Amino acid sequence: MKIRKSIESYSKKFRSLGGFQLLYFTPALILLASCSRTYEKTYEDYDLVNLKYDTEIDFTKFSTYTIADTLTIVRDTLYNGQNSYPDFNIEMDENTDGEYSKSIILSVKEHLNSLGLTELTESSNQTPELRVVITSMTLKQISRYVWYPSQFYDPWWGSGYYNNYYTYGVYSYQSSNNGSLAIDIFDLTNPQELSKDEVQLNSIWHANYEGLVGPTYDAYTQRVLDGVDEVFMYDNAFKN
Amino acid sequence: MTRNIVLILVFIFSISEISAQKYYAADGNYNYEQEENKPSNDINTNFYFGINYSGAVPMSNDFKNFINSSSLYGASFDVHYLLNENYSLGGEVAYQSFSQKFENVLIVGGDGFEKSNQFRELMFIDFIVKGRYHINHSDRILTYIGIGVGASKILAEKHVSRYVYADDDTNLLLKPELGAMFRITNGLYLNANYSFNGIWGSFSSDTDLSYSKFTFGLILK
Repeated sequence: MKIRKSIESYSKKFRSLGGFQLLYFTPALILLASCSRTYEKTYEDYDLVNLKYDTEIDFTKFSTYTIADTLTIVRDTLYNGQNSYPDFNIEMDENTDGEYSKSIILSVKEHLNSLGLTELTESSNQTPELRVVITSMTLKQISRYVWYPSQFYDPWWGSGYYNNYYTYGVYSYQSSNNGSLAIDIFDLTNPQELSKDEVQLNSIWHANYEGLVGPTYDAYTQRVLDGVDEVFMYDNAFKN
Repeated sequence: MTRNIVLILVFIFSISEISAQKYYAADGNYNYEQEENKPSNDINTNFYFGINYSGAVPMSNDFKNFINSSSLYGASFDVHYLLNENYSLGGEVAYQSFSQKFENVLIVGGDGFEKSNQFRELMFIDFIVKGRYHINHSDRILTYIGIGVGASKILAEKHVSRYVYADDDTNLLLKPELGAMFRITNGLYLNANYSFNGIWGSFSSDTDLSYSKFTFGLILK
């Protein structure tokens, strides 16, 4: 009874005094509470550079390497045909007059040479100790988000119905052009023999750059080159 | 954000101004009779309700190691039932969000490194049972101290490039508080409150995610 009287008293007060002022205040607070600080992400915010190497190996013992003159391209063939997406590696080279591939290979060579390694060409009689492989990949990633309203009405099944076969969610799509560049160094001096005619080369040093392709091909190329610079800047394998 | 806070403050002061004008007659003269008849003690209903905006500051080293930035995004709703003139029991639902951007985070290990920008976020959703002791009951200001015990749902996220590392935990929350209610009109108060949100043992047994919270809002009684 006492509680009921309190509620009645509160209700009267709410109507006659400041209650509606409180209601005006409520949306502002709900607005503040429902959001958290959001950051506008730049292309650079998606950049990720990492390196992993075999700590059991003494990298200072190597002195020669070979490297391919072209990038190994991993293509997105999933939608080949009428729905195929452009291959950004090829587009990038077309739009930069081949500078994308050339500049990356040149940069890797310069860094390896500055570490005291010597590049051997095919015409060389010397046997190389390391093989450098650079792989470039760009993929258009499409994410589909489905939101199911908590209560909805379907004329056939009634309200609140949900089954796995007939979804009634609200769909939204988000696509991004993801790019990555991997640099692998294989040890040619220590091949693992799998069978009489087959050997396996082990990647002893693996560096990776990931990011978003854009906003221009030149800008992406520059960020990849910056990533290559950082890989060799923070590498401790060859410097030990 | 700053604009929102300014708008809220302007609104609160405008309410206060409207309240003050009630004691002036139409001719602009001060109405002493009405001033004398205004309620002297505001505890005349057993319930009071609060809606609050809150800011917060990380206190523990564990918290600061993850996010070392104050939060301006929080809100709470609470209700109290007055057992007598001094003591009340109540409940509170609160939300607080911390976030920070870290540039060029370099993690060097024995076998390599990783470098990226990072976005970190910690969100707390609290469900609290509270007791308060109302220290004084002057016409204008009511001060109080209190203690709350409850559960805090904690959501932690770290965004690295396109990857999101997320974890969540629910932990015991201990919340001592002190505050004051300033009367704006009869039954409507401005609330200012400081509390220490003690959260120990989240995610791992020795993690301390305690933070201080400053709350401002309105109380309807």
